Amino acid sequence: MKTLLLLASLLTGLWINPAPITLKANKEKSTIGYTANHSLHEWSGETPSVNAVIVLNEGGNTIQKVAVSANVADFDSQNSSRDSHALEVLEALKYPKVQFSSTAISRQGESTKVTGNLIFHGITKTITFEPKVEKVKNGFVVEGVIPVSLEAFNVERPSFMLIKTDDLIQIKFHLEFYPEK
Amino acid sequence: MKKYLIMYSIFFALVNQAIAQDVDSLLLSLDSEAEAPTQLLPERIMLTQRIFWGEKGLLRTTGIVPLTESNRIKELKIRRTMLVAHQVLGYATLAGMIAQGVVGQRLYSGEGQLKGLHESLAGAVNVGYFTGAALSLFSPPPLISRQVKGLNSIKAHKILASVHMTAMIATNLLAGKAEDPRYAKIHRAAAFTAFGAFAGATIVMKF
Repeated sequence: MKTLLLLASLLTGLWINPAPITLKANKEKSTIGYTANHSLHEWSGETPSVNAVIVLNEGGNTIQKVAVSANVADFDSQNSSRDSHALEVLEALKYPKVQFSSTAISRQGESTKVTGNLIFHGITKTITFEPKVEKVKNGFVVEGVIPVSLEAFNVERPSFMLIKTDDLIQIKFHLEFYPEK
Repeated sequence: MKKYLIMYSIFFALVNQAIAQDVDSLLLSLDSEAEAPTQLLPERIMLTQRIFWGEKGLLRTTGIVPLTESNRIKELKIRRTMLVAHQVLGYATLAGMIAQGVVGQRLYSGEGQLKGLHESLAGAVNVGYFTGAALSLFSPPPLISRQVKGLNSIKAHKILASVHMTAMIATNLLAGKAEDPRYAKIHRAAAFTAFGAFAGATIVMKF
């Protein structure tokens, strides 16, 4: 009797809440970058080293959850001095990662609205954005832009020639998720 | 029977919770795959910085500033202060060089009464120039030092810095002999080279 109940509970649990389908971002095809602006010029940096994962519904056709993590030291703007300066203001030794995890994903027609927690410079803030989600043959392609205020995350804006950079930076992402081979 | 039902409920809840946690721990699973943490020192460090701040630098081996994360955080703040001072002194020195160019040219054209002013300006420019250089050369090293293909602003700044440093030393060495017209010409050429390279190094720098 005891064994039967245990077995029944295990099966019921698995039936009610089946193991989620997760897809990881293909590192060769996924990037996260930023664009920032100073009175003198605009520049951008990119990291090819993105760790991201999505959780799909049972049918595998809609995204239910997403989590992304990247090391701030991996963002390369093709200017080592500038990247080094960025790591100083981001206090990369204390806060080495920028992370996002969704709390709600809703779909209305073709558009998708994602709400979640962005952890940047050790501060967590809830953000909402509308990425472009495309279901491809055996995976998903997700891309979009998220405007981020540096001061909202207590980041001291870098300055050059005693002029500070603009507060708003644009985080751009292109993530491709496929089943692992 | 009641006992079994309680056990059933507990077990059912645990199974569901375990699956739910699996979803919530997505970030943790990503972190376990993340790349190695940021290194305290970059692989490539300028010689003048390595002497003091390198892994086996003087400040490390004497125990004055051990290589620890908390010390590196402080060092990076010191570095930024030194580099901002380097920038400010750079602009002031450039202004001094422009003034010196005007005075030097008039002195070269025969206005001998300007010699005192020229020497005073030379002293001020030298103090600004070499202090500014020291602030950059001996600052704590950055967190990263990537090798980038092709020419960029920081590479151009460093190439021009080696030109203006050489020209500044030559200008100073030739200053003592500048009363001889043969050396005056070379002194002037060295000074203009220093000024041109210095102005170029200031202009090419971008954040």
